[in-house]
Amino acid sequence: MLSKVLSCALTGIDGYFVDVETDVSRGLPGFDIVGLPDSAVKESRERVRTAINNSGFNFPIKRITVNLAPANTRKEGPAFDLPMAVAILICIDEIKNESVEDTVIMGELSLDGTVKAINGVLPMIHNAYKAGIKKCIVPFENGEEAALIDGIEVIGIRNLKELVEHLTIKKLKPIKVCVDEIFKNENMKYNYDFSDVKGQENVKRALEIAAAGMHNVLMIGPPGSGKTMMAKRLPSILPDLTFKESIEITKIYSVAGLLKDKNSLITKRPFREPHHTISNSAMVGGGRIPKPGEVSLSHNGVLFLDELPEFQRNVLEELRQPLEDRQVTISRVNATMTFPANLMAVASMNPCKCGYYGYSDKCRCTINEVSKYRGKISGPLLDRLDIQVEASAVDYEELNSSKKAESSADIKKRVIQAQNIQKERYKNENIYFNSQLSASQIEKYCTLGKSEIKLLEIAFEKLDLSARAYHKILKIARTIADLSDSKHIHNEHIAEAVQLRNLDRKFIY
Amino acid sequence: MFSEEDYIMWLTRIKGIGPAKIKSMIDYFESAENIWFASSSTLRKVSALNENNIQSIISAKDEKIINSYIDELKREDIKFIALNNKNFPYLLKNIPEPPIGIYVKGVLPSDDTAKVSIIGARRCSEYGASNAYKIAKELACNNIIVVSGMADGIDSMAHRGAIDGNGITIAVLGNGVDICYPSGNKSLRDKILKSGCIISEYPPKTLPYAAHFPARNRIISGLSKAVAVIESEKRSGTLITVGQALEQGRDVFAMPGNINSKLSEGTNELLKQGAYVLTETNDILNILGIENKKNNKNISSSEKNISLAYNEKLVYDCISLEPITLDEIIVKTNLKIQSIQYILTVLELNGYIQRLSGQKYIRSL
Repeated sequence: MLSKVLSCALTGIDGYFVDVETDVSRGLPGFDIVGLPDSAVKESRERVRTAINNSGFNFPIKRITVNLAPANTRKEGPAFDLPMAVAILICIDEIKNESVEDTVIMGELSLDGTVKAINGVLPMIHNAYKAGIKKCIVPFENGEEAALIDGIEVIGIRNLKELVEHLTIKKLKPIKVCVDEIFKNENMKYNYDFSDVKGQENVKRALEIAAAGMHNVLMIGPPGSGKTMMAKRLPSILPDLTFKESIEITKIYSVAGLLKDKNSLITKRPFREPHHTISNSAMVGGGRIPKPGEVSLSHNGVLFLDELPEFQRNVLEELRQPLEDRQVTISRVNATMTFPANLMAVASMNPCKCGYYGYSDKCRCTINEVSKYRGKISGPLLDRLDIQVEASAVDYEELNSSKKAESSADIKKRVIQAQNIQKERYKNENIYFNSQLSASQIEKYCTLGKSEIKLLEIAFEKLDLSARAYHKILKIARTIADLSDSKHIHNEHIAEAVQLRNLDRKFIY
Repeated sequence: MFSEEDYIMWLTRIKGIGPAKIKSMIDYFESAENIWFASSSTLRKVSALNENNIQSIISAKDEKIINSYIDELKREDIKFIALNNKNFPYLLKNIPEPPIGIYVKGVLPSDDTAKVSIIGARRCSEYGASNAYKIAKELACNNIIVVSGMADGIDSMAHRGAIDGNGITIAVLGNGVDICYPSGNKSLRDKILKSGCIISEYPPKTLPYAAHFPARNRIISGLSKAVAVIESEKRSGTLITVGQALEQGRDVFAMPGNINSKLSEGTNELLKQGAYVLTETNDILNILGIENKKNNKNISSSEKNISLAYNEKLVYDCISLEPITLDEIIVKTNLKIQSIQYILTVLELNGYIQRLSGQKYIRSL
């Protein structure tokens, strides 16, 4: 007898349908799986057989053939355990075929028949929903994750027996989640706040500008100047995630298997902090069947690169494309995949190898050593880091200021306002933020008055700025103008922007 | 036929023969020309020479070789001035162990103008760098030639100051004058050559060996009437120069520094031993017996008359010759960061202040 059950698999962060066709017929007893299964799928045989037996059913001693269609893509992972078990149970008349029609089934089985959580439920259910499927059966632990998709009935299953009962005797209640509730409860809570940071006003201001225009930032400063501390607080001044953004991130985390309790929607902006020994494929994504890397895991959030010059050169060069295109394309023999990577990069570095150049007598680096150290970061990458700001090494206790530092919430208000101005301005362009302006768009949106042009000219001449600084200064000045709700770019905006391009400057000593 | 100077130049370019050996040979043969014509057996009579030296001299005896040297100097626009040439700097001639000859690129200034050398550590603080610059500039304004070694740090700042004061400056190198060392100083080298010159005792193409530098230092002090030490650590090449300067009978000035700063340990020690105290350019001018021409127009910025808006004045007043960080300015002025950033840019573009690495600011000089 033949049966057919609908399931899903992943390519990149998108799901596609897989038909689990099962035939149980007379012949030499056996269990074969075809349709390019990898070893985890092949091992399903043992799990499915034992699970069925241990759930109180009799596994048929017949010739069983399972085909995973389309047969030309490689299937991986244990998610087909459950659909296979269901298909076999249909063949031995424990379940009626009609009861699983138009239902997507996925889940891993353990030997005692318990259904275990799997990765990538959200993108797969999303795909099913888009194709018009109305019902799905997923592991109970993945239930809430799947239920984030409104408009599809989600049944969470704990074990195989429960599933059979659901399909034959009494129906289980579909799982529902209230998205608004999740958002309300968790979204506002960040563990870090900018009010903890005393001093370093210029860096804080630079991060505010960066957040407002989604500019990438490079912080330069001696050890212990609070670079990491400030970077960690950056997500707290970015606007709250929208539901759409949140789903995008959750999909990526679902595929990567990083959803912590398998049922949560990611409601905070990601903050990823990879160690500098990270490999190429861990950074941008990779593997035989490509998986998302750090750039995608920080989608809609912050990617913090501490000790930038210590990263391997090739890893840094790989970052160029995602930072430019806001997505990353990975080509392997098996597949070419595109993951989103709309991130804000924040990097930090010491001024020299020992860390104290320009800050203390301790520094023993020669001028050559300093330029060699800074030369580890290539020009093209530096080009993508719009804002370069120096953190000062100051024992702030000594200054003993009574001034209270501004809280993240206050800064966030200004950031949101500036971002709204940008969205309104660029509604007819294909961009959202000042940092995305192309050269021709800069001409259009960053027009300067006579005195502003003059100021910029003097700045270039006097400060020995490099040519590549020109457009960056204009973009940053545009963001600063937006922050102060000014329609035009004025002298003070340009002057402040000039202070945020440190590495363009050539210091004498 | 070649001139005596050509023969001396030829001698300086023979491998393994230094100034001491050349001197003893000339003493023996009475002229460099005689050395050219001497046979190996007569050369053996000079006790300072060993067999290898004699072989090198004999094999270098080739008119082609000496002609190629002369052509090279012509091509590179380098002059060789032997010790006995009347253009050889008078002060340098009279030091113990003067160089046999010097290679000069650029115009060698006459003996009539006073020369002062400004020396100090390669690794220096803003304090040292800015004061080296300031004193060199003021000396240059008084038509004094600034001599230094074109190294990083104090040396470079001294040359820069002299150039910006529209003066003449001389760089003495420990390598061939055709080589730019340190290589980052190329633009500075070009500026020095516009009015001054670069001097070396070593023939063109000689690389900067560490051993050359103490010998180079004796020429720096030898050329000048006085030596000003801006910043130096306790054990440093700068102090070697000071030792040579004293041997040569030069006046030594030292600039006092912070007693806690490692970079000023050397200069403070010199002061303890009795060096002249250098706190302003007049200290040098007085000893040299030169009247400060620019006395009425003090070029240091503390007296600069500048008109500023109220907030700009507030920020400007925080900034002194000691570097100050941005955070300190914020605390002192109580202004918003964005307006301070704006004012700082304006002040810097107007040339009133300078930004240093490490988000620090000082008044410009």
